[in-house]
Amino acid sequence: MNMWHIWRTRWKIHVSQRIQFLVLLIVPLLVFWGGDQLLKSSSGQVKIPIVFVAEQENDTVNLLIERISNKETIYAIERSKEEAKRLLETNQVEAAVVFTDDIEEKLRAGKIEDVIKLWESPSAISIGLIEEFVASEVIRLASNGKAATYLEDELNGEDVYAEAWAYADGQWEPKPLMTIDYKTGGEESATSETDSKTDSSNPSPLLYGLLSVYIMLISFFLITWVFEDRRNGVALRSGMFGVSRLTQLSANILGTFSYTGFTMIPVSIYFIISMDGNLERLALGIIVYLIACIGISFMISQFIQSRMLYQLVAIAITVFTSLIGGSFLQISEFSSMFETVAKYTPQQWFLNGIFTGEISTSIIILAAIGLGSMIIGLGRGVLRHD
Amino acid sequence: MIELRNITKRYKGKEVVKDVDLFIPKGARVGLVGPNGAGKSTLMKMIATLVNPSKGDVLIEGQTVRQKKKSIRKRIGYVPQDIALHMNLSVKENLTFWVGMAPGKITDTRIAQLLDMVGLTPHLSKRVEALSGGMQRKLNIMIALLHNPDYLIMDEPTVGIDISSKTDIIRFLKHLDNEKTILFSSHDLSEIEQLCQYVLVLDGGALRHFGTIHDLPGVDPVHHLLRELHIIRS
Repeated sequence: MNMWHIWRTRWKIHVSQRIQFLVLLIVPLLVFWGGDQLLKSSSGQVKIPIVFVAEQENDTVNLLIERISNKETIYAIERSKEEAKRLLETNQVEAAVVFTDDIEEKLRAGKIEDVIKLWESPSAISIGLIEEFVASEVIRLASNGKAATYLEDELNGEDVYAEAWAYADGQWEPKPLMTIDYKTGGEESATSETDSKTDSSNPSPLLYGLLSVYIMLISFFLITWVFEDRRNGVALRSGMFGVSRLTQLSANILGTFSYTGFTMIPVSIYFIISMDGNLERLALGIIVYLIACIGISFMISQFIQSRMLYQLVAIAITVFTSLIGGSFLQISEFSSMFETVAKYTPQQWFLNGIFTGEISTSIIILAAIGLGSMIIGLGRGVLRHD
Repeated sequence: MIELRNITKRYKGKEVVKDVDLFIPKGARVGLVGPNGAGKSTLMKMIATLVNPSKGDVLIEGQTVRQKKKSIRKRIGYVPQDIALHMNLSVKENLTFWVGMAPGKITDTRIAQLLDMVGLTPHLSKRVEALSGGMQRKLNIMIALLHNPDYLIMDEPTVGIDISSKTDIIRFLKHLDNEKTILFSSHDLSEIEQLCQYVLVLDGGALRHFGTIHDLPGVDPVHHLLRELHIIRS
């Protein structure tokens, strides 16, 4: 009876802060939707920036610029020599492609030496790829030119250059010359597993990381009633009314858990809609992770007297575990010690729980952590005299 | 009646209440005074069964609080120093909550009677945070009285409110049933003079004086003692 009464009152208290309630319902949804859109659009914009410098404008140079610019992974601009140098020095572009004055004559003759200069930026990492793109287009034009010039010479100066050039050029479509089809191999199952993780319709792992941070922060925030009840004497007075501390704390935890779960519904629906398959796993993962976060925050609140200190500890734990939890940084980039620690963070278990197995070990560990923390916190709470 | 038998309370090795031996007769109204850190709140919490003494025993009507905590608590109304209410909820919601928590059945008539006595009937739908400090204090006391306790223990129930509200609260407390034993701590001696027959002086955790209010003021050694403890001005 008392459990239900306290649970209901905890809900009333949470919901009575109407703006906070609405913010908890709407803002996360907007943040995750916005983040998802941003990540989707930015993933399509990952291109190699290069700058063209044309010492002399002509048809050959214009064609080269057009064709290289049309490569999917290239983002190209055209600037003066001085501006190109500045962009390189400030690492705003990977490389500058400089066309020499006599490029047209040389390519007509089928010569490819010294027709282009390539300047690298100090931090260039994709210069090899740029070289390949530029070289393939230059070779294409050079071979077209050489073939056309040869035919013109063979036909004793008959005006066939343009026609021959176009014919030779056509041989590069739809695929470049010397392209071969590689037969792909490997285990079918391995391929399909990779596909399910990298499906473009799924939210980015970064968003799951953000979700884990959000759940942890909101759990730490909403459990602060412990300090409020302790400070204002509600906890004491409840004891005077014959309600045991165990009942009082358990009912309040249940109230906060169910309320937090309720505010998570819009975000969870968004994730479930955005995700292909594995809905049960995601829902289970969120619920169990929430239990773990509420349990941890409650336990910490029972060992700390000051609300300010609790808030600092909450931020420190959230930031630390989130950074090494594997969502934002690759675990393999850490030192071996951190790599080991990273495997034991709630975020890591949450992400593993979502992405692997059915009811995985990670989910069981998370549930055990949550319930264990709650039991320790309740034990400590019963012994406290405030 | 309340009997304290050489009670001592230690926190982290420090004695905050030292060997207090005392008998408070039933229906007495006792004012508890002393400087900050004198051990008033701890003494009150021990009487209210909220804190166990490190040594000695507290008896309420002959029953030791160590053994009969649950049944004794039903007979005590405790008003903590802070306002033990849910500030975001309305007066009515707070009452619903505490009525649900209180031992035994509390009738609507009892609630209406208390609301009238403290003058909160017109403010039922207001959030507690929107009430004045005086109103909040009145509601805080009213909740301790919901289950009609025989003992009312109030830890500085008028701290931080204006004189008019203090006067209202004292007037309200004076009109309570004469059978109730009241233990009332305050830094304001005039409140104690108005409400209490007895005064209990604590200093450094030790009992310095316990006697009738008629000993005050001007009669040595109590007056001298209170002046020494900066409870009254010279």
